[in-house]
Amino acid sequence: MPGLGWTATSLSYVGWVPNVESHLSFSLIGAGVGGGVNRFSKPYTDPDRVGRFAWALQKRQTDDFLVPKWYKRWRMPDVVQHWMLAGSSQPTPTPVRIDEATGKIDCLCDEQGMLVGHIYMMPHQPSFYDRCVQTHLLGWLRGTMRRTEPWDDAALDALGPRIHQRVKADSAGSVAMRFALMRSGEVRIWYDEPVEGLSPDHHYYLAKQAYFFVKDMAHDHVHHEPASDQITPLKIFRHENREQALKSEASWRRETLWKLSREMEIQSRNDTLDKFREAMGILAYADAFQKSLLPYLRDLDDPETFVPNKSVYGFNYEHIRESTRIRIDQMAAKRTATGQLLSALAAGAFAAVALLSSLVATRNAALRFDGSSAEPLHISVPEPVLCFLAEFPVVAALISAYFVYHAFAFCLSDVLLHKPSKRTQLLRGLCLSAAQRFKLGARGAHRLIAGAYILLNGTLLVSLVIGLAMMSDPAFREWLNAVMGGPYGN
Amino acid sequence: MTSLLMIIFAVVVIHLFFTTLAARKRVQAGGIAQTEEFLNAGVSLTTLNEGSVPEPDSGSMVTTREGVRVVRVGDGIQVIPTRTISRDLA
Repeated sequence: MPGLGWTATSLSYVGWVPNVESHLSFSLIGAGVGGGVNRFSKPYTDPDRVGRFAWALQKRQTDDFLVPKWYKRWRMPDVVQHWMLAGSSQPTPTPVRIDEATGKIDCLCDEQGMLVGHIYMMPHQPSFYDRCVQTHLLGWLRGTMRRTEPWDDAALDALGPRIHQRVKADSAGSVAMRFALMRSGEVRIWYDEPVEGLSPDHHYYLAKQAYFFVKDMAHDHVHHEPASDQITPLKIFRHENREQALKSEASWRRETLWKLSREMEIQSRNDTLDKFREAMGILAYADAFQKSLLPYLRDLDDPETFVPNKSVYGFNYEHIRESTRIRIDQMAAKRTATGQLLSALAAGAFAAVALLSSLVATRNAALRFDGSSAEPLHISVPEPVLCFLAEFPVVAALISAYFVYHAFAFCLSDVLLHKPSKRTQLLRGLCLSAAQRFKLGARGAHRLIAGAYILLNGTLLVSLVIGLAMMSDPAFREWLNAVMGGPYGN
Repeated sequence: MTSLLMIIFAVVVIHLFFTTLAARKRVQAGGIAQTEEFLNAGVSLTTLNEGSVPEPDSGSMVTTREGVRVVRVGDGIQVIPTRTISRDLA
């Protein structure tokens, strides 16, 4: 079984691509991931041969820095690599249940149960010549993927070796890893040969990035931040001796389940509606993993078969699921009520102002009608505000609408916008560094962060008012005309 | 033109204002405990900027994301791992 090369090398790793009940689809690899992904997926035409060739190429950039991506790419181009996977599906036995009488695992052969092939990492080329050659290679790869002519089985069979040959020849410093991705989500990554000059740790770092790439291509990041999917680990598969191999087989399953359970606990502590819902989603995956992969281990003597896993127990998620569902219902009801209250407040405020205006107008009209000598009432609005509203009615309306939208989003911020960003992480980093520098401790650091935000919010609010006031000043318009070289008026 | 500039200016400032207001709300919600977690995890301006946040231990509540820089060195490569805090943390 060619896919079992992971047992022949010490540089072997195992992980799980989350999916629910073995529903990984090889035909959808690379689909819906977004821009920058080229994909290719063709079935074999021979009716006796059920399978397909799947191929995906993506330009990926490491974005673990505070500066914008484009700036980092310009200053440090080695943060960009091209990652590619190419493989064909093969049959594999899939465990379906444990025979209670014999204790053996019943397996069914899934004709397209495993995708086997290579993962390639093509680094940035500092040399102009190497860069041109690699660019030409990438052009060939993308052009081949976009070919519209029918592919026969012989062409598909020849495609894998051809890709391998071209990448090794035309991408200097490229690294090729083998992979086997099961429909259950189990993924094995291994190196046929060590990469010269790299330590075992460096092989592991690259294998982890390959794992993240496979997850991005094969799995839809639904219940967590896509760019931060470290929930399921990639573990080193140690098999120097039988005992170690058995331990490895059990430990990666156990740690995957633990990490899913832990992530669910962490999300639940956030006390926001979207995090609770994500927790429920992660629970579903944990349950799916528990049912599909936890009960079985690969037989060390014959990795094509399975034995019962007696060393790891699962969790009963029924109660936590019910408890989380109740909290979601409570929070959703509270959010709905808050949204309705905000709408009522906003509408009520506008209605009150309109009612006041009409009452004053009615009273003043009545005074004139009666010929009374009483002074008419005036609604007092600051002169600059009134001038601004009169001169820029559309601007005032748009700004007010945008402000109200953000006010709603803020109050319902776990349902609508306002996700964290690099800017907020920058401020957090600044305050933490200052706290460490001045030995403030956690309480002092927390107060520093809160104070920094208060100062920033106040500055922004003041600058909004001052900015609008300055721009509505006729002197500003004169200056603008002078700068822009034309009568731009309003 | 002035109206357009006003709208652009107001949109940018209002967005920044509410984004930072929401971030402050998250910081308040996380409390001193969350700040302590960040301090214990070695998160600072330098580590965030360089992508060199240390690997969190198994008890840490700070989730991280990992990347890699691959530098061509002669005929081979040098692999430099990077790490920062998860993008859904304020």
